[in-house]
Amino acid sequence: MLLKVVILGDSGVGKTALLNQFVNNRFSTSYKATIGADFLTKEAFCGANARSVAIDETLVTLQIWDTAGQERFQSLGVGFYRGADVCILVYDITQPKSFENLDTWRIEFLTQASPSDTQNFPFVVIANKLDRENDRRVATQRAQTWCAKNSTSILPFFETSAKAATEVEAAFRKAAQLALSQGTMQADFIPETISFRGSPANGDSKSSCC
Amino acid sequence: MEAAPPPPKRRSVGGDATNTAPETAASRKRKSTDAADPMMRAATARRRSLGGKRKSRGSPTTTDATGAASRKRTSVGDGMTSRKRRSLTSDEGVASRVKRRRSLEGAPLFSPPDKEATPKKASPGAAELSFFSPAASAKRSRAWSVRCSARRAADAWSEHDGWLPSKGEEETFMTLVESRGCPPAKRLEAWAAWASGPSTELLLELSSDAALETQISKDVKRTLRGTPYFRDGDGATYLAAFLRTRAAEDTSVGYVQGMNYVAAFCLLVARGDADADANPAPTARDDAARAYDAFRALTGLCRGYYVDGFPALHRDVRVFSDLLSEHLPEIAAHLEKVRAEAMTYAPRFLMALFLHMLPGHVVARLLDCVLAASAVDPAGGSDATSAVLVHALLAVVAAAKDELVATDDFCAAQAALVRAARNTPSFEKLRRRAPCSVEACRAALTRPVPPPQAPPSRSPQRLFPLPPPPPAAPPTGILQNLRSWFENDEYATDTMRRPRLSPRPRRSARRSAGVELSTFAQRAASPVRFALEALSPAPVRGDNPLSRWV
Repeated sequence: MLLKVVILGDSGVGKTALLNQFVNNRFSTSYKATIGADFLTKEAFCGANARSVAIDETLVTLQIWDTAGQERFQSLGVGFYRGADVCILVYDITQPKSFENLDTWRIEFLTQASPSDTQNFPFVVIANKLDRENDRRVATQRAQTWCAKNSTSILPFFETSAKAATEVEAAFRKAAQLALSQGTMQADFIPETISFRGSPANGDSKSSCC
Repeated sequence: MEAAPPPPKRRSVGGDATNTAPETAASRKRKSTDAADPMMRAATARRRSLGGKRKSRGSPTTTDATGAASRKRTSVGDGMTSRKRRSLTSDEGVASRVKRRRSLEGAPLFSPPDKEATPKKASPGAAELSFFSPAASAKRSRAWSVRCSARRAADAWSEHDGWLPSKGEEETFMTLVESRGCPPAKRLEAWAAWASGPSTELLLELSSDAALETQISKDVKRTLRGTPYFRDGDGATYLAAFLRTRAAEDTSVGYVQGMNYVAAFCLLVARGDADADANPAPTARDDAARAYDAFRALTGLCRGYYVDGFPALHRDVRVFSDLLSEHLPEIAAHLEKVRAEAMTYAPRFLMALFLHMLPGHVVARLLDCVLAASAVDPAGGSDATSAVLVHALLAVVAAAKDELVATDDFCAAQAALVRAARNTPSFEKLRRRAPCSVEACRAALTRPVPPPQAPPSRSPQRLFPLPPPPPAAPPTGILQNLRSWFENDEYATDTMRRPRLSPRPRRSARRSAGVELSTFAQRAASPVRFALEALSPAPVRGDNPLSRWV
């Protein structure tokens, strides 16, 4: 199963570094600015359910679109964002500006990708450069508030460090899992089991009432 | 009593490293004697059994299979007396063979390892620089045309008067640029001549625009940062100054990512030589000013790639995909199949003028063409620039053809394109791979844009599809009635299915006669049908309800 993941965020927040860490398990201090977009694939086992056991995990191929961070490149966005299954928003904890721009990125993505369900489209928020904790200028609390405010369900939030490889895997795994669950929800809307027998607890409460 | 230590241990110690070669030599020897004559074979067998017996007497504990095997292997060497061994093959021969084999496996044969020659630890940006810099990548290249390009270009330009064409000689001038390029040592001079403009003072101080400065400093920090010139030398200072000055000159464009590579490339052209790239010696003010002229000209020509909305980029990508489906329909269809639209891969090539995609020396030749064309072109040259770049992109895609067609994956197709570009050996090769000429690209760019067609309105999907329309009423007239009667008859159906009676005509005959001749044999099988068809005009195939099923 193929999932398209789009990574957005201001330039220099470490999108390419995160990707490189996730896909190649490598970190390099010298990166070059991404022009247009870069594309990487990674296969992973993932389940649609958060507490899934290994049995119902399926092999998914994550097709990750690493985009250019400069604002002007958003005019290329339509082609890049369309058909995305999940969007990862990245900011840098040492740059408040990159956090403030998350709103712009999110709205821009939703208008250009125009997913069928704007309200419940899966986003994952990543606060990168956790290894520079001393220079932190965006509090965790602030980001969590933003995540709670911007969606009907709380956006998953991860603080990562591409350099130290902390939480990178978890963030991408969460993204894949969200995309999978969203996909299955849209594909068939049939609940898993429909019980025709009322649960015994219900029956008991009724009898006691009457 | 000598055999008291456990034999397996001794064998494992001796057999692993030191005894391997003699043992193999011994076994080889055994094979050769076995093949030699039956008498000898019998003798060897006797010896072998003797040795085995003796061995088993000495080590009664080894009864497992491996023990037996190793016993068999070692028995020849151990069991033979030295005199007999010498009689089979000369010991010196074996020893020399072993020695030679060891020398081949181990240390170098010709020169002892030299302390001076051991490679120094490469700096992290060395690989990047050797690809990006025109001088360094040319030095590394093995292509013949690259190796002697400097001399050939110098020879070609020695006959030319100056760097600009005289009136009426633009065509020969452009041919010269395209076929030979600039001599690398004179490239800066030539580019400055082609890109002449008002002299500008470089803004070395920080400007007041904080957002611009942040963006520039972010990107300067990651442009060839591993190389000595950009890390320790004044490369970074000039790079920032170029970008800042250009942003101040053309405020509506400002700074866009991709320009940083162009600026860095111009600076490396000003350095001139591969050794200069690798050391942090300062660049002369004069050279930097000329490099800036080239940078301004290039970014000016590609202004449409950087200005808000990227109008020229959208146009070029559209023209590119038209040309792709026109000249390389197979690749275009395949790319469409893997959903790799031109808009996904073209920007990374075009916006950075192929820097980091093609090797530096190839980009240098490409930009020679761009700048020379702009100097010649009365229209300003931005169309000519687009034509050269679109042409190069077509060539890259054509070069990646085999890999592209082999893959079914989007990301793999993208990677194949990048790899094809990176492996381009020379500019000549790139041009030869292009499926059409630069002029054709230019013509396609200047072609008027067709009005956007309204998307075909899709009919609403029905739950149950409508039944197919009823067949048209049969034609009237007695002949037609007769005809339809025959065709609906069982006999007619049978004849139509019957195999050909006459041999199939040769392919050449079929080609020349078209369809008529090939159906002739079928028609001949049914004389009535043939007569009827000869009398009446041939019906449209779809009209006949029967022919639809047969």
